[in-house]
Amino acid sequence: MKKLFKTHAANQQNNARPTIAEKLKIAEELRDLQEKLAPLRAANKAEKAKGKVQTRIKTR
Amino acid sequence: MERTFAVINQMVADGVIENYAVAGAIGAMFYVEPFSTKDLDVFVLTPEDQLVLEIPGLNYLKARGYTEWRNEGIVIEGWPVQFMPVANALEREACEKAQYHDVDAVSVRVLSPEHLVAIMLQVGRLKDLARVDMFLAQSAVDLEELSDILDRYGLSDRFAEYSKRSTQ
Repeated sequence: MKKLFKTHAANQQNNARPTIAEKLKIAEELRDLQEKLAPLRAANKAEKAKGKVQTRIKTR
Repeated sequence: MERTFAVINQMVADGVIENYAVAGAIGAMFYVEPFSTKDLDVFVLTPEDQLVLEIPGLNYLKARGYTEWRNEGIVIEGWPVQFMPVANALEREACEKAQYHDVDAVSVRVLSPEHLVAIMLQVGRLKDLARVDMFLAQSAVDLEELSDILDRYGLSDRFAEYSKRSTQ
C-alpha cells in the first residue's frame, strides 16, 4: 500500500510538472488544432451573421 | 520547436545577432502550463543608441531558405518567429538577464518569469493580463523580485490596478 501511494504521488508530481519539451509539444498540438478548427469557426460565424444559427442563452 | 531554437542559436554563433531571449507566450510556457499560441516572440539585443531599420538576421535567414512569412513572423522550421529588437529599458534588462534552459538537447535563452510578468503588465492587453493570472495562480514568480522590477520601471500602479480588477 505504501509503495502504491508513493508511486501515485510520484505520478501526480510528474503529471503536474511536464518537461518544457512536453509543454512545447502540447502548444504545437493546440496550435495545429486551432488551425484545423479555423475554417469551421469561420463558417459558423458566417452562419450566425446570417441569423441561421441561434445562440440560446439559458437564464436559469 | 527544438529545431527552431537550434537555428536561432546558430544565428548567435554565426554573429548575425548579438544575443536573443525568448519572450511572449512560448517564453511563458517555460514557467506555466501550456496554452495555445501561433508564433514565437524573440527579443534581440541591439546596440543601445542605434535605430533599427530592419529585422535582424533577415538576409541570413533568406539565404538559408527561410522565406515564408506567417502571422507577421518569418517561418523557421514550422514556427513563425518574430524578431523584436528591444524597445525600452525594461526589455533591455529582461534580455540581458535572461537565462538558459534546456529543451531536450538544445539550450534556449528565455526571459525570467518576473521580467515576463513585468512586460505583460507594461503591454497590458487582455491576453497579457490573463497570462499574469496564470503566473500568479501557479506561483511561478518570485514576488519580491517582481516587486523590485515593477518599482524600478514605474509599473507598481499597473500591478495595483490589475490586482484590484482581478479581485472584483
